[in-house]
Amino acid sequence: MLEVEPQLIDAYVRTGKIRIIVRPLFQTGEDSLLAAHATECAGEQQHYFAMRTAIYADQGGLFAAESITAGLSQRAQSIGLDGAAFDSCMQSDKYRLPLLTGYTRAKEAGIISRPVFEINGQRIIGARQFSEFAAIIDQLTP
Amino acid sequence: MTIIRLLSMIIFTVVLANCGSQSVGSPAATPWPSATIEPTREAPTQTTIAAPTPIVIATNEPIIVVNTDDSLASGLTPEGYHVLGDMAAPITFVDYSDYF
Repeated sequence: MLEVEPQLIDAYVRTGKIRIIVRPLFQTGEDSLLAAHATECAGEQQHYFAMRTAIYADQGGLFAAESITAGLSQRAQSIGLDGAAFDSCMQSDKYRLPLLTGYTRAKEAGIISRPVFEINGQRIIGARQFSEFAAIIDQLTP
Repeated sequence: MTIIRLLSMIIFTVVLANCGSQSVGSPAATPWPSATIEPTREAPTQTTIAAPTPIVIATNEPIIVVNTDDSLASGLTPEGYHVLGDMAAPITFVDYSDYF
């Protein structure tokens, strides 16, 4: 989605045609959950989507980091977040349960692989090019 | 004394007087050139509005430029999922994805 999402945003979100809802999965385990927790903490400072983009943009670097928590904190500060508030939020672990609940709901809805997309309820399994999403969205656009 | 010689003396006197008046108001020593920039004919007159500056993340990996455009609307669904875009948009795009 790192390449496709910006195109969707420019073509359809900015024009008011679509809204993107993010439902994080944790099929890859604890590191993914920590990353999702970091985006929630960034959301407390109104930078959820900036943090999400920052993590997606450097997944390799984060995954290879000695401490993913320290890596997330570094990226949070790099995008201008209050580091102390971010670290405090991460240490609280307060979003773990809501995130895991959301993951359980996704699995109950039949989401067993990744990525999966739904466009007005039409499920698309697996990564797609922008043009494929655009074709579906254009059909649905009034 | 010719007229030309007389005019030359007057001009010389005026020049000397001007030099003196400038040095009175100047600092004793000015180590750096004045910050004042004189406009020139070549100077562009078009006003440029800077775009939002992207944030550059420096890591061990190649430099990453992150779009931090926060001009888009965002919010939460009643279930607590994050939404980007107009909540009243006619099409809902749900992204189920994972990090790493």
